[in-house]
Amino acid sequence: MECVEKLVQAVMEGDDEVAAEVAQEVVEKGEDLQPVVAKLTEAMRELGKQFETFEIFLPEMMCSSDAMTAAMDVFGPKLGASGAAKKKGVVVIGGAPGDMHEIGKNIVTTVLQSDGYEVADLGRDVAALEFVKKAQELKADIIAVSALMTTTMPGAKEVIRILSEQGLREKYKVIVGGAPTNGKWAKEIGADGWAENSTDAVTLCNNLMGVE
Amino acid sequence: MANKDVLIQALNYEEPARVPWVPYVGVHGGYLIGKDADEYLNSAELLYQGAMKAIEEYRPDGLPIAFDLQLEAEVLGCDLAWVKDNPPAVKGHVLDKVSLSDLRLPTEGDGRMPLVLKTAERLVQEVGKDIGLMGLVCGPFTLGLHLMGSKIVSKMVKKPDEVLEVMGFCAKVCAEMARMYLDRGIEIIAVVDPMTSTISPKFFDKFVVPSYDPAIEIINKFKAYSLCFVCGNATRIIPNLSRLNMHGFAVDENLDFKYVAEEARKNRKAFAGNLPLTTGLLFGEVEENIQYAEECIEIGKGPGFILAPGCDMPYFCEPENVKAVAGLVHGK
Ligand code: B12
Repeated sequence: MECVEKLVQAVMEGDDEVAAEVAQEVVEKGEDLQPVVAKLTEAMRELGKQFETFEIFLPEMMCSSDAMTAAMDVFGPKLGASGAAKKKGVVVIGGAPGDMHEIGKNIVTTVLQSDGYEVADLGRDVAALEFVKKAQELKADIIAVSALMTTTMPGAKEVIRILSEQGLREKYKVIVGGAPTNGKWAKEIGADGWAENSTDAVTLCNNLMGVE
Repeated sequence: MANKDVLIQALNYEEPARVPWVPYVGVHGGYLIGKDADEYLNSAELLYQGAMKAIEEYRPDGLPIAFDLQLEAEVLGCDLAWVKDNPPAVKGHVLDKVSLSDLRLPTEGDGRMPLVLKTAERLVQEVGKDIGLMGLVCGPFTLGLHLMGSKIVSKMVKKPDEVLEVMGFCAKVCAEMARMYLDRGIEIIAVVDPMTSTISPKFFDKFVVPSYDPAIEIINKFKAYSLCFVCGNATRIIPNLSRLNMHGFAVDENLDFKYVAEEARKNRKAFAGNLPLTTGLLFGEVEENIQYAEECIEIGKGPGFILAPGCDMPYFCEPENVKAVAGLVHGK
């Protein structure tokens, strides 16, 4: 089998060790990385869809995320050189203050990464001010807040409040998501967008950044 | 007739004399008596007062003793983050620091065990004849997550033997916790395992189902009743839940209750649900909650059905909403 196909298969099957090995082979062969990354991105999009429709479940999705990360880690240093990774934008993501749920946020993180975004994951239970500080530091384009509980949803509003207070609101797009949230609430708190799942989160970010 | 009789009828898959009603008052008990969640879950006296207040206000047929899935994890060495309006959350996973062989089974004197068990004893004595008291234990998969962190999920694929070993230990913890409740006269044990909604039916059967066996064995020995609680969109594992060797299972508002009822009835199992927590009990109007309850009853009515909220009731649940559901059940 051709290397690139093997790599796509390793990602689909969630084998991070094979993914790293084959990615190394791809690099050594001096292949143009851009089409390879595009194929992997396509595979991750497909997996995201399968996950949302319960064709695959969390264990499989997490393994594929790990495999994707493993391959990208190998490519990492070479990507810039080959000009393959024209990043679409910088996203700062985290769990709302007090929220310890991380599974959905982690999936959104990998799916955005595999779609060409540079994503800084601040983890779970992130203070509102921390989102803003990190966005400033990384010159981010998008701040993404994941809230899985009604009690932690106000944290997203707090991020927006701090941005406005510091006169930074126009600098960043703020997006929100998580099981109990919805588009109406996102509008009410003045966010720039909401998405129901990781697949839609990519579309949302692409729309906000004006990219494909 | 005692209130709990209708609940027991449902658990026996009989047609109850009226709809059995079990509001899962956990931290919300603190709200009812004007105490923060952290203080509430750290005091036997407050847990008792909250339960008594819930009985007075909500006229339940069954009631949990304490709804805190972090109790066992804390005893085993996980760090908790405490807040005022939710149960605590695990922030540090003990297996990041020590290995599985270093962990010992919890005993009755550890951590907050004494205060929960004391509350159980006191409630059994004072209201146990009338109310079906439920001992809630953290399900083995969710406990495994607390101990290992979310890598337990990917390791189900990559290192299944390691996960099975952790699950084996969690199964023993679960059984031991059940025994502590049963020793105090608790008649219903609910194994609460919200994480199960994230895995496939195949993985559920492989990793999770066997881990319920030790608890089921001890529950049966005491001739008590067993329930499994899940949370989130567990649609794909409903047939598997229905096949468990337990008396029934409970689901939340993320699934089609009609389908749940059908599947439960195939195996003559009790099924509890599924009043919406957020859109209903927390934020809804009284009329909406009555309507939601009527819809649940319409779908569920008959043998095995238990009217209950989807999961642990939020701290700030509107008491008038819950009272309205109680009124519907009791005919006023
Ligand atoms: C698994 C789970 C847990 C695990 C979390 C494990 C972990 N490390 O993450 C454990 C068991 C630890 C847990 C604990 C608790 N939980 Co919990 N949990 C769940 C459950 C069952 C599934 C969540 C999940 O991971 N789903 C799978 C992922 C893939 O989906 P997702 O998170 O929704 O993410 C997707 C989308 O929402 C979206 N998305 C997510 N984030 C973002 C961000 C952006 C920017 C965008 C665009 C999109 C997006 O994309 C994701 C991928 O598709 C839900 C049920 C539910 N309905 O969601 C309850 C749920 C979220 N939990 C709940 C509660 C109450 C709790 C506890 C308080 C329980 C308790 N009584 O002790 C604690 C709180 C801990 C804390 N302080 O945070 C409630 C919240 C109720 C509410 N409305 O407030 C829920 C809804 C269950 C219920 N019906 O009551 N929980």
